[in-house]
Amino acid sequence: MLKPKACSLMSRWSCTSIYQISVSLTSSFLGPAMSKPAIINELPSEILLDIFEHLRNSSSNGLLAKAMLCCRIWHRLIASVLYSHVAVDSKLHSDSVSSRFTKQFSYGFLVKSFSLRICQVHLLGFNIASPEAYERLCEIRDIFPRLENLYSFSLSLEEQAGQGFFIPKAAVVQIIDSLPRAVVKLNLDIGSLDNTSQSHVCYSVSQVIPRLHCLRLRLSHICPVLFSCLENPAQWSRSHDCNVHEVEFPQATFISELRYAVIRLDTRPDSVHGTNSRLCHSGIDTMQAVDLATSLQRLHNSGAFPFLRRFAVIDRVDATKSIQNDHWNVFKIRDIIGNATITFPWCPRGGSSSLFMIRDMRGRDWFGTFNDVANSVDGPLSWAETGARSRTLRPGSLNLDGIWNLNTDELFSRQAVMDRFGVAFRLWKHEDATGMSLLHVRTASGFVDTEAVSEELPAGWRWVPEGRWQWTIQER
Amino acid sequence: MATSTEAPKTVTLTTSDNADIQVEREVAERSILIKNLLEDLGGDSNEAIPIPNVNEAVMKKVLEWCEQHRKDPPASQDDDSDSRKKSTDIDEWDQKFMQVDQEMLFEIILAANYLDIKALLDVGCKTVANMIKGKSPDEIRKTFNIQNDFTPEEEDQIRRENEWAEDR
Repeated sequence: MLKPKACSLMSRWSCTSIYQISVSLTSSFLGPAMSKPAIINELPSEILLDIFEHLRNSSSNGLLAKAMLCCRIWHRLIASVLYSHVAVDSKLHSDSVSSRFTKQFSYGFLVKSFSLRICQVHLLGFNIASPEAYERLCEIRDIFPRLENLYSFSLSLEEQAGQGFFIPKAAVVQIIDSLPRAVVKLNLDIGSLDNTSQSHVCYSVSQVIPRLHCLRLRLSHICPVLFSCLENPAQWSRSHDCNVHEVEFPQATFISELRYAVIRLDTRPDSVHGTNSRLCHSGIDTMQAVDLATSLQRLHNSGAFPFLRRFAVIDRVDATKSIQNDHWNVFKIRDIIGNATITFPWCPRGGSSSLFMIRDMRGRDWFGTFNDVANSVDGPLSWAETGARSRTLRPGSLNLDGIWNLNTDELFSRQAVMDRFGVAFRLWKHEDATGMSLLHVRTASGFVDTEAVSEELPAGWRWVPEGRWQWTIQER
Repeated sequence: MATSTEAPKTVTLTTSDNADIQVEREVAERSILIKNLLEDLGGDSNEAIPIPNVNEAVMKKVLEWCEQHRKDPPASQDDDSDSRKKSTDIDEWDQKFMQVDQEMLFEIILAANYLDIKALLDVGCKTVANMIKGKSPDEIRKTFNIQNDFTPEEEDQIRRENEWAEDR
């Protein structure tokens, strides 16, 4: 368990690294007196680890922090459970969890995945230029060199109720620029970048893209600079010897290690930026999913992603109103490798409820909050929980037959919402009446399909007004 | 595999203390180890199967659990590690079943591990996890008869460095 590499790292700090204290003394402590050795510690390590993982997954980190004080054996095992996947919230005060986390020095090398969520109060601090907000940022930036084995990093903002605060681009840039080299999985879910600053998040991401294996981006502002490192040899060759002739670099030098990637252009319903991501440093221009998907496909065809298994661009198209109210909003998956556009219909349940519905490829309906429904579309590219709320990408099974399974982990089935909330849909009534499915997930080849979807009436049925505002269907 | 009609309905297991236990094959096959062994031996073997790592008392207890859970669906490969670890909820029968002294509890866990009975191993580990919950380090040490082998300084440092994880 003890890593020599870690020992040398630890010696840089004046304090003895607690984690490294040998466990060999254990038996000598069990004196000859009446004390029977603890039989629990005769269990093999992997079983003890199993127990501690149960403990972590079923309760809070606090329990683990207490239990690790029991003895050296527990300390060593629990540290590996507590630190392998870390999820912390960043607030303004120096007493907040993320701030306290950055003040530990012994365990950094154990951290494999790290999820950081910046809370509204920290964002507020940035917005009023509070020194504390920047102190917290520096602490986070400075812990990265100690997370030498970190391979997965996720950055998100606390969901705002109504109008939230913005995060300065410079803060995001600082975090990305200080990520350890070992990071190969990156998730940035940032719905409210401050668009006024000159810092460029896309450029920073572009610098790490060559070495990433997994990428998930949902940014309020995005632009083609993202993949500039693959397109522009001059930029990418800067780190190489200047005397080497550029022409001798084959095209394949500018490749990305990406295996799985998803770029989401959709934003939350209450976003001030509208329904889809805007172009960086532009006024109101939105990033067009068709354009992005097309240029990514061109890059892919030129050999920039030799390891790529799956890459999707996801955006949102809201339906135009119709008098019968039969048009549905959609999420669109643009599958770069499959060269297809898959369109999933969704809608709010309506009324005061915050439930949203989405239909899957097999015609089943699923329910959840907007975020849960929106995230379910990530499907095989979902970032899943790895315990302790830390998220990392675990690709779902790859279907070669073009099926895109929603990730329904956080969603309720139709039956569940009917039983629990008495949910009923006009669509279901119509489907019962006609005995047919009237709303479908649509798959179209290429990226040109930009339409929403509508309820499709079978031959022999038509819309008729029902009362003053409602419409229903009727057999001719 | 071994679904031939003449397959014996019962099998004999020989425990580490040389006791022979007769048990229905379906029950014994909750253990993936035994299931694989039986499949390797072929359908018509009547030989006793040696289980050298488990004694009679523990084996009987384990088989009692297998009997109760004989109709449970087999664990699927997919939700192997995570979903099964999500909660420490244990159903009522299992809770009662696990009301044994610590030595027996750990023996059951070791046997479940050796015999490859994932669901029983989980119940065992959850039971132990529940015994840790809500206790101070001192109470945990008392519960499991663990000797505190830290110096006060070390204990202090561990507490300080892991403060971030404490509940507030």
